[in-house]
Order: sequence, then structure tokens, then C-alpha cells
Amino acid sequence: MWAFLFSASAQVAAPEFIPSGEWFNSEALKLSDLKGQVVLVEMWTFGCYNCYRSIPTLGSFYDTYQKQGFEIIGVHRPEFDYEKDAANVQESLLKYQVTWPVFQDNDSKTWNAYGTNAWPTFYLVDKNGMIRYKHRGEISEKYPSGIAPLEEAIKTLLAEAL
Amino acid sequence: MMRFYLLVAFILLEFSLAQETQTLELQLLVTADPEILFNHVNPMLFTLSSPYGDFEVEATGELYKDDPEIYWQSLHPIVWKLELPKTLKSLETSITARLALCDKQQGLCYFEDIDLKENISLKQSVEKQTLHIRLDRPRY
Repeated sequence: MWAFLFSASAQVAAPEFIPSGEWFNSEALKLSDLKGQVVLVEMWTFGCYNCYRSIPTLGSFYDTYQKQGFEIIGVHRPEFDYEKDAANVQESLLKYQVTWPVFQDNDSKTWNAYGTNAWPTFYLVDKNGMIRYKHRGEISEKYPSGIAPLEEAIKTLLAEAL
Repeated sequence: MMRFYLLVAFILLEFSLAQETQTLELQLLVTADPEILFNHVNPMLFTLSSPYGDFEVEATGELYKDDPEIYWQSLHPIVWKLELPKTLKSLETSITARLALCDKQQGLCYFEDIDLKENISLKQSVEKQTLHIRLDRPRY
């Protein structure tokens, strides 16, 4: 598990989304359309135990900060073939009560563009579209150590966005 | 008539010599850092490729007591039994597998691809050999 708030010189531009599949809970979005907001890009898949156990924490962040300009975009990158089916993804979103936008990354193009290699991984993008914080690993009651630093980073970037 | 019987006997002898085989019992032991778990939701297949064909074995493992429906704590030995021509002295093999692993300390999951190439010497009529693979935690 690792995470850090990037210094100004180490910031990198967040790659644009490259969906392969459907969007859920939203019309198709571009990351560039979200400039001015703080965006948490969540690399996950519904069959990943560490991913779905992180959803309550994400839901709590969403409830608390969405009105302040915070958005979550779920990048659903399958681990196994049955996770590529849009109907199965939709069913999982209902099951886990995911209300934020999610798109399918069945060709792994977004996953690769971000240089991701494990589920779940979270990228926090500032109002200018720069990746400012990264966390890899479950965020939950069982794995609480990543929660407070991520929430602090969200608050810091939201304050910058004012 | 006698010649005919002799010819048949000769052909049968040749055929039986040609069919003589030796058995290779190849065992693969996969050991892993104790923090690594094996996701068994999907079949975990190990494929041994050789000039005599591809042989697939589905792994089994010891259930991880905290999440037995999803994880194995360890894998049982993967075993192939191959019948090979008696005259064969060595066998070029390649063992491949895509493992769905999770690191329970970090709470994350990832794939690891195995590709192990071995030239196996065949010296006995029943040859037993063991190969080892060690899986360490990913360095992030």
C-alpha cells in the first residue's frame, strides 16, 4: 500500500479516459470536461474483493464532498472474462449501491494509460487535470490506513479549487 | 504358410517395440510469500508444452480460512504424468500459467504470469522430477 501527495514538480497530467464498453450512471464523460473539479479515478472490477470492499469508503467520500466539487469516476477494468459483460457490471453497481459514473475499460486502454498494475488503484486529479495523489490497495475498515490520507488529499485539493 | 506366420510375428514384435514407452511424472511446487493469496474464483490452469503436445492441469489449493470462497492460502503440487517414447533421452518443456494473486497485507490484487522453461533428462523408465517456483510479493 502506498500513497503520496505529489510535489508540484512531480505532477503528471491525468490521461484522458479511453472507454471500451458502456457508461453507467452517466452519459459519456471526458476527463477534460471535469476540469475545475477534483476527480478520484478508481481502477476496479466488481469481482475484486479488495475493490468492492472499498466501495463503502468511496460512497462516504461521495456523500460528503460531491457538492463541493468532488467527483468519482470508476474505471471498470475486468480481471476475468465474466467481468466484461455490461449486464454483470450493471448488476454489481446495483448490488454495491454505486451511484457515481463508471465506464467499462474492457480493452485496458485507460488502465494502461495510467500505468496501473493492480486492483484497486486510486488516482486523485486536481482542478487542472493533474494527478496529485495515488493510492494502491483496499480502503476499508479492514484496511483503514489509506482512508485518512486520501481524505486529507481530497480536502486539500478541494480547498485549492475554491 | 509358415512364412506368413513368421511375417505376422515379426510385424507384431516391431509394433510392440515401437510402442514401448517411459513415464515422466513431473511435479511443480509453487511456494509463495505468506502474504500472497491465490484467487480461485476462476480455474487456475497450468500448461506444460512439449514437442509431444500441450498438457493442461487445473490447480487446487488449501482454502484460506478467512475467505475460503475466494482464496487459497497455498497451491497443491501440480502434477503431470506423461507417456513418452522409450528412446527419448530428454524433453524440452515450458510451463505457463496466469495466476490471479492478492497481497493480503496491501489489500490489492494483480496477475502474475509464469513461464518456466526446463530441459528434463529422462534416465529411468519411470522418471519422477520436481520443479519449484517461488512467488514473492510485488515491489511497489
